[in-house]
Amino acid sequence: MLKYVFKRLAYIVIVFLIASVLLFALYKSVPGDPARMMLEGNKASMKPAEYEARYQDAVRKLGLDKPVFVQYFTWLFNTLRLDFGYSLTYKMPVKEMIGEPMKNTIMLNVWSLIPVFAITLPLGIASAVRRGTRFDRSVQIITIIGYSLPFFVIALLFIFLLAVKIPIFPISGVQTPALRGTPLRMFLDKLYHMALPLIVMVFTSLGGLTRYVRATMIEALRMDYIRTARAKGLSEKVVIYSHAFRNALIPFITIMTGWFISIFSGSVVIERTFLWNGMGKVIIDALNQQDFAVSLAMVMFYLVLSLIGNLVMDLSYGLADPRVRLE
Amino acid sequence: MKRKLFVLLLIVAVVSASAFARGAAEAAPRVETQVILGSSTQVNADFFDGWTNSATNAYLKELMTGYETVVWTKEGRYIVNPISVPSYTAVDNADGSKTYTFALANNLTYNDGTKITAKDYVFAILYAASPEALEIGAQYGVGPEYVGYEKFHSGESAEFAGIRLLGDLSFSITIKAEELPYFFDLSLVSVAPYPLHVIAPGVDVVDAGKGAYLTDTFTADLLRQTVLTAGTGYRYKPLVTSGAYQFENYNPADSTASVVLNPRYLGDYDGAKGSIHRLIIKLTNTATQMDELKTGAIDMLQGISGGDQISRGLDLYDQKLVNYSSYPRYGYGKIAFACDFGPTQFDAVRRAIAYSLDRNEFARQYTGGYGIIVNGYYGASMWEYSQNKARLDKDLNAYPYNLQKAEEELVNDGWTLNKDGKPFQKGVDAIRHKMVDGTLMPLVIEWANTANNPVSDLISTMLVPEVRKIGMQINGTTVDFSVLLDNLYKENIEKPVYGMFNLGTGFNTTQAYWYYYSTDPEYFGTYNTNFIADKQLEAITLDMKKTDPQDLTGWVEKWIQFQKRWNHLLPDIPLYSDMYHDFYNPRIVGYESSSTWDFRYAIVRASIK
Repeated sequence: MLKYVFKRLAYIVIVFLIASVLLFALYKSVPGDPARMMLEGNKASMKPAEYEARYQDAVRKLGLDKPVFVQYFTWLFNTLRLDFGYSLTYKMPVKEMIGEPMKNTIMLNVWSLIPVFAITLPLGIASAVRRGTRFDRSVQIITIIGYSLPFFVIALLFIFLLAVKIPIFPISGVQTPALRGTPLRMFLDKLYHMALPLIVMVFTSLGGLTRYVRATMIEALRMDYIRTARAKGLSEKVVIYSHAFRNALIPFITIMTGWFISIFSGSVVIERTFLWNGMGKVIIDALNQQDFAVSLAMVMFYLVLSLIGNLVMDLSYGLADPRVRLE
Repeated sequence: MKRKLFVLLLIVAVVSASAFARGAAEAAPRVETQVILGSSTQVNADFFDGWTNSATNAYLKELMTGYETVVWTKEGRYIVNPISVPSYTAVDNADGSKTYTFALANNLTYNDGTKITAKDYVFAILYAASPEALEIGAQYGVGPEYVGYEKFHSGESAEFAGIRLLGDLSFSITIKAEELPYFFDLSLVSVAPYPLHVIAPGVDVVDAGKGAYLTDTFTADLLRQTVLTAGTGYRYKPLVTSGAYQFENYNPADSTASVVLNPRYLGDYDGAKGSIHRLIIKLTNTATQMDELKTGAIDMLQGISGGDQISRGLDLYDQKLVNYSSYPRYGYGKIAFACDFGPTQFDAVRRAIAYSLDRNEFARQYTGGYGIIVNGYYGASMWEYSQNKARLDKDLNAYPYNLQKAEEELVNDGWTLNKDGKPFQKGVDAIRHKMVDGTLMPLVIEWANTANNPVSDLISTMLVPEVRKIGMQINGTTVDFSVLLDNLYKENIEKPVYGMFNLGTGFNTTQAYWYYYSTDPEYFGTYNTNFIADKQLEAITLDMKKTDPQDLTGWVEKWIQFQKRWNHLLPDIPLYSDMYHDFYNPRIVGYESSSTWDFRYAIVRASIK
C-alpha cells in the first residue's frame, strides 16, 4: 500500500512538471503584452519618452526581458515556494488577493454539500428501490427539469421569485453594505446573503446527482448477491443499505472526487450571477483581463488538487470495495 | 414517529436560522443619509494614487481628496481653488519658464485635525516624482513638466529645482519653458496635499535655496512600511485625508467600500461640503442591477447605456420609483483608420467609407435610440461644442449616406483602374485600383475586429456590403483585443496589415490634441494611434496649445478650425456617442450629473429628502 502511494506521488510530480511546461507554453503563446497592460491606464498622462522608460521598467520587473526558458524556471521555482507572482489587475501579489475569494468559495461549497447529499442520497435510493412507481416517475420528471435548465436561467428565476417578487433574500453580494456588528451578527448576515445562491446550487445539483445515485443503485440491486441476500431472509433495509448501497458507492466515489475539487474552484455562473466574490469569478475575470499570473496559479493549484483527489479516490475504492487491490 | 419528529425539528431549525439571519440583517441600522451606488466595475483594495485606474476607486479617491490648488469646475474649466489658495501669482520668467506661487489658507486641516501646510503639498510632488515611489511599484505621471524633474526623478539630484518651499503656507512650481505656452497650464499645477506625517513619518521637507528636497529618512523601505503594508498601509487604508469624505471601510469579501463625511472639511471651490453621511459603492451585475435599484438594495446607478437597460430604468421612472438624468458620453465608438499605409492612407478613401455608411441608422440600432452621432473629434458634452453647436453642425460634413458621393471621392482620388491597369468598369470589375508609386494598389482594406461585439456585427451588415457597390472590399478578421491593440499601436508587429479597426475612445478633460495629431514619430502609437502625419492639422493643434489660457474666444476659434480639418481628413469615423443615464432613488435631490461632472462631484452637492 505504502509503495503504491509513493509510486503515485512520484507520478504526481512528473505529471505536474509536464503540465507546468505545457501550461506555461500555452499562456506564453496567448497574444498580449503584460507590460503594456500594466501601464495602459497611465498612458495618457505620460509623454512618449516617460512611457517608454516605464514600459521597459515593467518589462524588467515582469522578467519579460529574459529568455523564455529562464522565465519558465523562475516561475516554476517561485510557484514551488508559493510565490504565485503579481496580479496585473489587482496590482498586488496573487497570494494576497486570492485569500478572500477562496474563503468565500469554500464557505459556499461546503454549505451546499450538506443539503445536496442529505437530499440526493435518500431520494436516489428511494427512487431506485421504488423504480417504476408514481413516486419514481415524479422524481424523474422533476430532476430532469432541474438537470436540463441552464444554471443562469434557474438563478435568474429564483432571483425573480425570491428576491424581487417576494423579497425574502438579497439579490446579490456577500454582506449587507457597511454593516457593523458582532462576529456572530456578521456571520449570520453572510449566511443570509448566501441563502439564495445556496438554494440555487442545491436545486441545480439535485437532478444530476439524484439520477446518478438512482442509476448506480438500480445497477447494484440487479446483482446476484442482492438476490442471495434477500433469499437469506435479510431485512430489506439491510439489503439496501448494507449490501446494495455499499456496492453502489464505487461510482459515487468518482463523483465525490469532483465535488471535493469543486469546493475550491467555485461556480462561475453562480458567483457571477450573485456577485459572490469567489474563485470562479476571480478566474474568469483573470482570463478576461489576461491576468495570467492569477489564472496560471489557479490552474496549477487545481491541477495539484485533481492529482491528489485522484489518489484519494483510488485509495477510497479499496476502502469501499475489499475486492479492489491497490498495486 | 422519531423520523417525523426529526424532520419537523429540521424544518423548524432551517426556518428559524433563516428568520434569525434575516432579522440580523434587518436589525442593521440603515442610516437615513446613506447612498449606495451600484457599479459593474469592481472596487478593488487600492485607495491611493499610483496603483489603480478603476473608475469606482477613482470616485472614492476623489471624494477623499480636497484642497487642491487647482480644481475642475462644473462648467468644464480649471480654476485656482479659492478655499485652499486665497492668493497666487503666475510669473513668466526670462528663460521662458513660468512660476506659479501659491499662498495657502491658514485654516486647512486633515480629517484627523492635523494642520495642512505647504510641506504637505510639496511632499505630494516630491513623493510622486521620487525614484523611491517608482521602486515600490507606484505609477505617477507627476512632474515631467516641472523644471528639474529629470535630475530629481533619476536620483541624480536630491533637490527638485522647480519646486520651492517658501514658508509654512507658501510654495511654488516652475513649469519648463518647452511646455509653454500651454492653454491648460493651470491643470499642470493642480496639487493636493499628502499627509507627510502619515506617509513619511520622521521625514521633513526642506528647501535650502536650490529646490525642495526630502530628508535622508525618506526611503523605499519606509514607504513599503507606511504605504504597502497589507491591510493597514496608506494604499489600502488612507485614514488621514483632506476631502469631503473620509475612508470608512473596504470589505474585500464582496468588494464593497464606504466613505463617510469629513466633519472638518471646509468645502469645495463653491463651498460644497457634502450632506449625505455615508456613500457606499457596491458591485452589481447588468442582469440584475435594475432589480437591485427597484428593491432598494442600491440607491443609484450611473452611466447606464444600451437600449435594454435604459428602457428598464425608464420603466422604473414611469412607476415613480426612480429619477434620472441623462447626458452624452465624453467620447464615441468609432472606426479608426491607419493613415500611413494601404488604401486608408488616402483621406478620400476614408471619406468614401464614411459616405457608404448610414451612421444615423447605425447609431439608432446600436444604442437602441439612446445615442447621437458627432462629426468631429469631440464629445457632445464638451463646452466648445455646446457653445457652438449650430455653427459646427453647419460647417462640419455629416457624411450622409450617399454612394454616389462615395464613388466621386474615389474617382477624384484616382481609384479608376481595374486589376489589369485598365479603366475600371462598374458591373464588370469588382475592385478598384490606383497607381501608387508605379504599382497598382487594390482598394482592399483589412479590418481587425473583436469577437462578440455588436458594433462589428453592424459594420459587417451595414458597411461591408455597401462598399462593394463602389468597388471597394473590406475583409474582416476577428482577433483578440490585445492583438487589435498591437496592430493599432503597431507594437510587436513586423509588417502592419490592418488599415481599419473598430473600438471606443474617451476624451480627457485636458485633451492634448497636439500629441494625438503630432507628426513627430515619437508620438506615433502612443498618442497618435492613427499614424496620421498631416502638417496642417498639427499646426492648428500646436497653435491651440499656445493659446493664452484666458483667451477662450481664441481657443474656440482654433478648436473649430481643428474640427473642420479633422472632419475633412477623417482619421476616425465617429459611429455613435451614447446617451448615458443616471438612475437614482427619488429621495436623492439636487443630483446634477454630466459626463464631465460625474458621481464624485455631483453627489457632494446632492442631499437626501
